[in-house]
Amino acid sequence: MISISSECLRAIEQDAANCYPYECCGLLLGFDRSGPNSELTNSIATATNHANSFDITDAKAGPTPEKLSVRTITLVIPAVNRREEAIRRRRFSIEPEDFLKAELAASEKNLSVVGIYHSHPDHQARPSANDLAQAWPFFSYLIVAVDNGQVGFPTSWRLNDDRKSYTQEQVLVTPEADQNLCPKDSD
Amino acid sequence: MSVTVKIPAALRAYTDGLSDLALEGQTVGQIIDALVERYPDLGPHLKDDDGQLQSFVNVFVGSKNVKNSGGILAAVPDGETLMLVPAIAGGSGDN
Repeated sequence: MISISSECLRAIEQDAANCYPYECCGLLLGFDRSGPNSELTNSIATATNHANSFDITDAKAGPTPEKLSVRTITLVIPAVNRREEAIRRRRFSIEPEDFLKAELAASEKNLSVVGIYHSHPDHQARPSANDLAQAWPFFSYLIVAVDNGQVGFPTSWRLNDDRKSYTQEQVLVTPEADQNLCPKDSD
Repeated sequence: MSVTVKIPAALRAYTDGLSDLALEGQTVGQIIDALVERYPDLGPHLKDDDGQLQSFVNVFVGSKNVKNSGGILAAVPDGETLMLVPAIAGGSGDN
């Protein structure tokens, strides 16, 4: 499960809308909690759960949803999509130097880079073969579809150990920013 | 020839949680091989079926990204730091 504040989610939605029809991308900073019996899980009833179902589509191996850590996103760092303009509608990449800056920012706040977000303009919010080929373990891959400029609700995925499939994780939106670490629009 | 290898958070589940390792080798390839020998489950995440570095893995020797300047053949001086850095990419296009 991945928990994200409404404020952080708005930052992602805004980035996706601003970049349309190109793909946006950025880094998700936060932390893992101990597991499914964490305090967060116990508070689900008081939060807003936007996931209609908890499919484990494509999960043929690797960790089961029950074994995935509970993850909280407290800071979103938009990144520049470094792909060439001609293919930026269907591709994104983040420079390693940008990733290192985000890691440094995370460590200064006692956080970690725990995921990546990107948009799929006029395409479903599911990982593509291209996403799979370049995916890293551990990270949550948050995807938002943007249909004619309208940003949909995100899905989130973690690579399985076989490198051939993902496990979909539930996305939980909380009303307030955790630790008040999300950047404001003017930042 | 000992170098310090910095493991990104995303791969520490495969290195018993360790972020820094001391390994022997004179080139990036030799050090990656030593790393995979110690932690075999890391192999698929670092090297492809042909034994080449995966396209989504960057290697910094000191402050220099050697992915496109030497790659696995790049020399790593004794006492230097080798850092594995994710190359984050993807997108909706399937080809």
